[in-house]
Amino acid sequence: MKQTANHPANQTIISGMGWVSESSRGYLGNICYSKNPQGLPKISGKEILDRPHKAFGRMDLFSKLGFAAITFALADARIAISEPKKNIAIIASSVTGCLETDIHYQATLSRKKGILPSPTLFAYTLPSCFLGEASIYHGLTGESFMIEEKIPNGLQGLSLGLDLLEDGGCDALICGQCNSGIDATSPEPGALFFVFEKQGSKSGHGTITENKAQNIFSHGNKTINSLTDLGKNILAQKTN
Amino acid sequence: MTQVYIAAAATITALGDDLDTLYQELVRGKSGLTRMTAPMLPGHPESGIPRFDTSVYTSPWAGLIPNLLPKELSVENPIPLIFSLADRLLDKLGPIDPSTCLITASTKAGIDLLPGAPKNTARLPQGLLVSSLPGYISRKLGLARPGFNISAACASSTIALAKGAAMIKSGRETTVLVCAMDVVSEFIFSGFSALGAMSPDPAAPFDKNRKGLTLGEGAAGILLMNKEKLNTAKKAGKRTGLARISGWGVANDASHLTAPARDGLGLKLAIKAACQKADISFSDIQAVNTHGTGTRHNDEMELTVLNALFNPTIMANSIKGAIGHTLGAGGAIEAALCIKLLENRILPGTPGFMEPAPGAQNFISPQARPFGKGPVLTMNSGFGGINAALILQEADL
Repeated sequence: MKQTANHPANQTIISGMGWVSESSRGYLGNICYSKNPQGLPKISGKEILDRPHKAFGRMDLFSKLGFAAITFALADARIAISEPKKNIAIIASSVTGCLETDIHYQATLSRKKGILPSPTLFAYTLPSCFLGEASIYHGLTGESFMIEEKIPNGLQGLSLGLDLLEDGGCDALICGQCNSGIDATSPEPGALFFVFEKQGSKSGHGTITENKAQNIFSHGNKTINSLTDLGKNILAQKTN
Repeated sequence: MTQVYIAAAATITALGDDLDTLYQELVRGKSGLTRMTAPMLPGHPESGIPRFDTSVYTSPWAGLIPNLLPKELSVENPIPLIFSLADRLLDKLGPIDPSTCLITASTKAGIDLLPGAPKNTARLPQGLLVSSLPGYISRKLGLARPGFNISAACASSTIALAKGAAMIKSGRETTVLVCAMDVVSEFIFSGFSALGAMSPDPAAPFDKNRKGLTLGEGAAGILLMNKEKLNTAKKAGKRTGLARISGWGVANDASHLTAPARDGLGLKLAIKAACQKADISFSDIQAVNTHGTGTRHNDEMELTVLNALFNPTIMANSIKGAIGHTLGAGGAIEAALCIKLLENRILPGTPGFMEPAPGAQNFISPQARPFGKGPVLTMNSGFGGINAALILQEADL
């Protein structure tokens, strides 16, 4: 893939970042702060979508979180697409998966013994479904999958994604994390996604470099230990 | 270019605890699907009696693995069926180098623990979260790293194999173990029943009168190595090259959450990418293992793709009428079967297939058939519009 002079082959541009947390949501230049930051905010379709999307209302909380953060990240990267469809991949990491949705579904199953449960709710007990929702709404035909792991740093997904981008397997990569929060030991609930591109004139949020031999990621001259680290670094750079 | 070899493969399905038996039974046209009939005795699948009452659901049929109970039953520390299945699979794989990278593939792993789990989420049983599965297997094998799970609905393990192959090709890893598994639980059974996706009779993929899918459970372990690592293992008499994964592709339909794109856009893109990576053309492929669930929309979509990309002489099949749809495990079980296809050059028939659905007559047969020398394609699709394809070829070492 073509490289620009400012971005050597081993570097990847971070062209977008979007998030939903208990305290705020959005992207740089368009942040909405929660008035009462206890628990995750209720997100409405009208708030984040530029055109109607019936499916948003029926999504579970986990899917809404991930879908919203992906949508914010794409807006930040100024990638506005639906047609024609584009080869953009999505890799999401999670520790909790959609356990809250599983519990909700199981409760309806137990309560309605003998009556078939909601097929829509069942569909969202697959944690990767929000990747499908984002692919449909934004017209993304690249590969999409979920990584579930106990290590909450999201870097395994980033490694796989950067390899895919480098190999020409996608034109851009959306990579991030989504957790619904279960207990004190689970990661902070919320979602954080980035858009990565190999080329382009966008200045974005700098570059990410991976030293594959040592499995070390750097953002500028800072070592990154997690995707959250990367997000904090970007915010710190913009506010300095 | 770095080649990706399969150095070991094992399967556990309703048709037995090893890959040879599975293949032979499929060639013979045998089905492992069973009717889960009353009386219900939860937790006693070894007797052929169901794990849950199916009378309220739209099908009594499933492809169950006999004797899947944990060795030790405990109310305080319940063990999910998936851990028992993992134990059985690992017994088949033999010693694994501690430096191996582990990728598991499962859609819901230990979800069978959820009905008995305490309401307080702070006291959730170990094994309930899917993210606990790779750690369990890693500890059992004594691996240096905990591994991770790939979840992409019914294409989970196909993608896990694609990612494992990509990690070896890029030089990031020299050895990757993919362990794929899912079990039949009431959680899943009820959902597919509610979706109206299950057949009241055993699944009949690509049949004109098909009525839906039959759920199954299963596991597959596939050990991937680069050439150097495989040669070292060969010299030590530990492993041999069974086949190689020469191409892989993954793509999304971007069309519908629970139904495939009518035109098969994502599957076509995945197959095209897999062929490009393998440096072959569509016409080089000699046989196709389809996803073939037996649902109207999936089979229609796959027939559209087969008719669009391949000449009418190519042979295709589906094994889901014999072992059921094993969800996240399906892709790896079918990839393991492709090793036997390459070895024997006989494609098993499609159980349940009697009268061809429109477009199926050229590709599908109820009988096992010999096919020519060359690559085989295996493909899977899943909820969320995801599609994945793998090209397997002889090891040629």
